[in-house]
Amino acid sequence: MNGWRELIRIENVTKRFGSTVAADHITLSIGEGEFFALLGPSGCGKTTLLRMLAGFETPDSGCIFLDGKDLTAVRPWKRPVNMMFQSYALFPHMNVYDNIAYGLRQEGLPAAEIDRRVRNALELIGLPDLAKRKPGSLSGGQKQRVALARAIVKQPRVLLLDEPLAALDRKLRVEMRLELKRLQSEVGIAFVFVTHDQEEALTMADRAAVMKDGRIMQVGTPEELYTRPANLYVAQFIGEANVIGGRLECIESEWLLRQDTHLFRVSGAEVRRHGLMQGSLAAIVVRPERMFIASASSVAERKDYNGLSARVIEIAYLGSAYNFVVQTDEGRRFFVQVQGAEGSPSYRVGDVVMVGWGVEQGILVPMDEFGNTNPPEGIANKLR
Amino acid sequence: MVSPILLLGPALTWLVIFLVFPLALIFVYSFLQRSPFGQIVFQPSLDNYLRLFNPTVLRVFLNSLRIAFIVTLLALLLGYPTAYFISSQPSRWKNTLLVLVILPFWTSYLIRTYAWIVLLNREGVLSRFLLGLGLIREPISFLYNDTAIVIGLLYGYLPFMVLPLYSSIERLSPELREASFDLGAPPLRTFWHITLPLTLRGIVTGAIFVFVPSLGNFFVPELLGGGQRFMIGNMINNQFLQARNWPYGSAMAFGVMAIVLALLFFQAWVTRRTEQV
Ligand SMILES: Nc1ncnc2c1ncn2[C@@H]1O[C@H](COP(=O)(O)OP(=O)(O)OP(=O)(O)O)[C@@H](O)[C@H]1O
Ligand SMILES: [Mg+2]
Repeated sequence: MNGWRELIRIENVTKRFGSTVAADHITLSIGEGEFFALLGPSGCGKTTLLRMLAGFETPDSGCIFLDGKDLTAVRPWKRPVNMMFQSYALFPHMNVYDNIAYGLRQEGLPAAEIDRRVRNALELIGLPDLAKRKPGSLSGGQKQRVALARAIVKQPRVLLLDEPLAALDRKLRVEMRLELKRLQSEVGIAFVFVTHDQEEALTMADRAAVMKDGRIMQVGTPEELYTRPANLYVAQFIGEANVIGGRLECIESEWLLRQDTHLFRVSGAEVRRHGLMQGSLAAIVVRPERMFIASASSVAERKDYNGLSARVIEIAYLGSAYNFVVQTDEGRRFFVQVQGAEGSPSYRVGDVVMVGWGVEQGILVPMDEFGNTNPPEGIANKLR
Repeated sequence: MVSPILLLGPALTWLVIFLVFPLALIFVYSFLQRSPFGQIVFQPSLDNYLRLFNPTVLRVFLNSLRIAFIVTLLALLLGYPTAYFISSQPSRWKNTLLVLVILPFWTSYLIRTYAWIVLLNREGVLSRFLLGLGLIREPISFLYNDTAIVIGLLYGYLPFMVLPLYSSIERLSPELREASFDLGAPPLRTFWHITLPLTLRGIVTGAIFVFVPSLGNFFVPELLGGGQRFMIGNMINNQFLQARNWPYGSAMAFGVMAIVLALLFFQAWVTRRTEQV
């Protein structure tokens, strides 16, 4: 990103609730005008981090800076930060207009100025006719827009959004993604966006932080997270993944990963990316769409491929692609996705085929404690 | 198949016998006359109602309304923070605190009012306490004035204020308050613009629960007002038991009921106003 300038710095922030550690030594920078996603499973501490940014929770230790100034002790009503609540939290006794005007009235702006800005905001969210309606009579999507307008109209430095799309039905959710993105680039405010939906994070965010149990597992652009995951957790959380765990070996300057008796070729660049060594525990991650499938006899043994003979055990047609689940004689399962016509099903369940991937398509992630993750849980379910 | 209406049978019968019937009787009485010997004379007229507007009766009505109003106001001022405090506690404390609020109901109100006599009389705890502090030179009785009545009523009816307030505060999502903070309103403004309007229904309900029985109460003014201070309840009581003027007492009772009904309509109106929430 050009001209990235730090807006928020979260420094070594920890927050406990009893024995739960909701934020565990979190350090993170968010840039001006950036669309930043906090991504992670339920209970990993996303909301807690957002609430600390808004000032509703105080960190047990660590600091939060905005524009280089320490925000930690600043009360919520003094922060140039606004939040859009998961439940929208619209004031039920005020109409849409008054809801949006509420924050501006607190600033003591002249009435004409307030009116102008509220009308602009209503225009921006495309609901100029609903000014007099009470929140109780609005649809979910309309409430969501009003909540957004109410927060944006204050022109904060940062807008915090807690799962803003979670309550909408799927079609509306996909529409709103684009709309939020458009709005964000129009107003130029930094958005910090909480979601547990990786697709949402990947499609909307400039950068995202993947969280687990109050810790940040990786921060990066969606592409970095997908193509260069820092660890197995991120690799499996972002997108589908075939995982082969084992120990690294270097034989005649070629890097290999040994699982049981089988050796898989790995990319030297990937080994160096993580600074791994001979004997390190690691896993190869291959995205299903990076795998190939071919008839059993067609692929010659080549240095830049890993190929295995396997039997097709499940085929699913997705319209634009075919998904295959195949299993080797040793019981390894792979999930293979083939785009469009290429996947025209010359294969049937039970056929013996060749599956594999180019060595450079195999992502390597370091591992410390290793559980047998092949096949990755849930892959068969995701086929449906 | 038993019709569901039949399930209402016992309650309806009870209501008709013990509420509708006596009310109807009193309503009829209120238009009749009293013979010199206290009997009821069937001579329909509006006299009893017109006599409600004589200055002595009006003064008692107004004073009763004033006392009931003060009691309600004080109950609100004491009850709101109490209810707010309880609802802000961790859930395991809430029930304990609520039980403490209704604990006094386990003893008869009458007996508890006697206890106040012990506390407030010349030799009472309060008097001795102030003596001990040197704030007063000789023992004072705090009894037999409006203040004593207000204290007695406030004490008795405060839980009726706390409970509806508690339930309306409890229903309020904490996120609404946070959203208000977030939009730049400090706690006091947030209270004024968000919390208060959204708990208005609880306030009105609590106020009626306190105002109505305070207005009609007769034994607290009897005991703590020592018969020197009169409220409507005493006056009605007297008409029935001492003056033996049932028709006039009935008219007074309906006067009170008119006030109460007006209040209930007001409550219904507030509820409807805030219903579109
Ligand atoms: N006020 C609180 N008191 C006690 N525990 C809390 C509190 N708030 C959060 N927690 C705990 O902290 C952890 C993180 O919660 P948080 O709400 O931040 O998760 P989240 O990532 O937002 O999850 P979700 O996706 O379900 O919203 C959870 O284990 C939660 O139970
Ligand atoms: Mg959450």
